[in-house]
Amino acid sequence: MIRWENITKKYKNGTVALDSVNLTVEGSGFVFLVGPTGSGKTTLLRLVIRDILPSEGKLFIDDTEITKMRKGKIPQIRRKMGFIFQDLKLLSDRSVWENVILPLEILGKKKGEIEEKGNEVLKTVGIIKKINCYPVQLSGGELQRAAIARALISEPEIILADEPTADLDPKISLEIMEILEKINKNGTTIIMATHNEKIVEKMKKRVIRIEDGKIIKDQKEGKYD
Amino acid sequence: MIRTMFRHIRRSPYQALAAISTLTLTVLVASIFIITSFGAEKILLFFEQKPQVTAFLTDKIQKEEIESLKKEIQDTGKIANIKYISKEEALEIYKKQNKNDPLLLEMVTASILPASLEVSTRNLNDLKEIHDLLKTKKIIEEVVYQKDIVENLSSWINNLRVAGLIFTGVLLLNSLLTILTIIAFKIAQRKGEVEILFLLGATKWQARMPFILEGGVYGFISSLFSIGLIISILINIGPFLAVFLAGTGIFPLMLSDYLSLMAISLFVGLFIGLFGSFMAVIRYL
Repeated sequence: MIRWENITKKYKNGTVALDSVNLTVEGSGFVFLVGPTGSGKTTLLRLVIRDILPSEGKLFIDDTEITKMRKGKIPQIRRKMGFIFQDLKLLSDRSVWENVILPLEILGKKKGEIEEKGNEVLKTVGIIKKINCYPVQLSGGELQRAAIARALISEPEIILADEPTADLDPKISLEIMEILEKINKNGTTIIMATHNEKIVEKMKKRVIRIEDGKIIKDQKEGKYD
Repeated sequence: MIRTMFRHIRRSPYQALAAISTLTLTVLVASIFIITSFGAEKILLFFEQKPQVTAFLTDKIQKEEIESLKKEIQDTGKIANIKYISKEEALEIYKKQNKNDPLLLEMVTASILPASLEVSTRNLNDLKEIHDLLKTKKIIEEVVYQKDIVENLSSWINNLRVAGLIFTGVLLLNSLLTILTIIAFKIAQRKGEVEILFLLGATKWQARMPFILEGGVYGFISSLFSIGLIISILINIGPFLAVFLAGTGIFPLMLSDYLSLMAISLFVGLFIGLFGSFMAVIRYL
């Protein structure tokens, strides 16, 4: 369970990205965050991985208040999550394989396990043939899949996805959503920020609309608008 | 982690070259300084252990007089060793020293060489007292002592040690700063990568370790280069020095001497590499 309790985030330039947000996402939930660009969706996600701290309020993951957590403990929280970044954050001088297995290397997993899970996840996202390619050699969709594979490989408890289908065509977007839905059914919490109306309409999941840093709509089987 | 470290090195070969060449120079100079200090120490010991006062005896001296003089000197309690060299022994020594020069051996007999007493003291400072005591004896024709040589050598070695330490210290500092700067530059260059590692759950030390290891590899490679250079220098000039420093016991170097040198070089190289990069990651990561 993730709980945002009266969270306000003001950036140094005066922008109020989130304004007194109260929100709870239960474990194994699947939530879409929708809203215009700059509405605060990414900020909401970045708070969860403690990439930034709120100006006010508290954020809990289960019973742990991560806003108060010591810096040295942050990796423990991040290791429970998979993050699909809007700008993907793939390492340009590492191959697809090296990028994807990075979370397992950080976790100190053994070579055999890394090989097995790496192959499995790359098959799942459909880029097993691109294993030795470097990011510069991949198309937008392939890059997106590599980033998704990296988020999935450690079988995290929570997946935070910031526009994971942004550069994908409708067919591949749906394939990616099928993968995420399958993972969600296995008990992984998924929070996904998106502008993709068709996907939101099709999936019939909880939809939270944010505008100007405020939650203006929270529907159980919601629609995009 | 190790793969990441080698990737860092491969991606900026010129920086790696700068680090290795600077470090090699430092380790090489440190090794030369250590060898020189060790050699100088041995030379000093050689001179200190040599008879420091030589008293040449008159020709008419009796055996009892010699024994009595030896006892008197011994009773001062400051003597490390005292040895009587007869005329015949003096001739043998002379022959040995000049065996390659037959011209100097002609016409020389035991009768023209004086018998002598070779006296060494435990403490260099007692030398003058023994010298003065021997001077008062009528049975002694001349007293020669090496205090000045030993003192000059000692002072020269001390100066050498201080100069060597300062020079090595400056180079050490220079190398540390070079490694620190290069690793700091690499950290800045790979800021994006480090940020991603942190976001994926890497601990501080997981992100720091490849940079520290990189410094260690620079140190290790530099030590190997330095060891190779110093050993080839020693092999090439060893035979010449062995003749030049004959009797001091420095040459030929033993296997243990080479192993000690290697260990010290490795330690110096690894210390600079690891400590320099450690400072960089603590400061910038």
